[in-house]
Amino acid sequence: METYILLGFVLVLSIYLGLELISKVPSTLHTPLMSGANAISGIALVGALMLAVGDQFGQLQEVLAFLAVTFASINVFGGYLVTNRMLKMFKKK
Amino acid sequence: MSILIENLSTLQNVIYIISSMLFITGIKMLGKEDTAVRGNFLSALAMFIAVSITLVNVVNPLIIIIGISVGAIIGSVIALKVKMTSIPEMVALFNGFGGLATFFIAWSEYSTTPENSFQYILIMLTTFIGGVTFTGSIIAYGKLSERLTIKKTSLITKLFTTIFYVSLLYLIYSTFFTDIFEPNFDFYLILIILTLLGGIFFGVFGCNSRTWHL
Repeated sequence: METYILLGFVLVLSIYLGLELISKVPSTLHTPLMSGANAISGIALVGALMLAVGDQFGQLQEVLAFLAVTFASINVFGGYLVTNRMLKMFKKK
Repeated sequence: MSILIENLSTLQNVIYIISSMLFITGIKMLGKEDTAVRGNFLSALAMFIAVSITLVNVVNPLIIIIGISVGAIIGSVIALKVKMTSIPEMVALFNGFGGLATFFIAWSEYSTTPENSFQYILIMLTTFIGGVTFTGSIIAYGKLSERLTIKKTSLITKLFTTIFYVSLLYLIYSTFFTDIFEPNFDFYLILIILTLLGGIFFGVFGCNSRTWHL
């Protein structure tokens, strides 16, 4: 139970942190910020990896872990590169 | 040996804390025009650190290496080759893939018997959120790329709105009013299907190409 209370603290604090971080951002940066935040949500890749390094394995888990790793890494690589491309476009202006 | 494992897991957690600091600094810098590029780089670095330290105690490297390589190639090709004007729908697509990954993680966790009721509730909620994110984003992708037009008053909209509410009720029912701790595939399959169909509702309502600033 202790662990869940601590996790609850982390959840609440990160909600406030998120609100704080996105306030006062110029509107031209909204799209790259959203794209960057989406890339960060690819941190689910770490969860997928933990799944894939686990030793209790069935056929189904193996397939699901592989699919999860693949799609999460599409999100991570694609997300960061797209954000970088957008930001470079802003610099030229 | 057990001391070594304990120390490794402590080290991993300390490094996760450091990488979350980098993530937060990265997002903060992404919000200012002159530091935005560096902010993006910083959060990519944080991601690299977090992923690397997770890979330290890897048992079966093959599926991970194949998975990451396939994902990296597909993601990079989409991100670099696509036309500048179609970037918004690409972001929607990436977001959908992230949701799909979460969905698969929750599914896999479900099939390895949850330990207590709290974990069970979390797995059900994660399945729902991941599935809804996936199908909602795919519809958003279709609408933004103008391959799909759905009017808000059409029959399809009404149908999927109904399915969404049914899926929500089923989620609440299955999460709080049953005590099934043994994996029961038929029961979970209904949740998966309803969740994926219900997500279309968000794509239909929650996306308007005029709201994009690009």
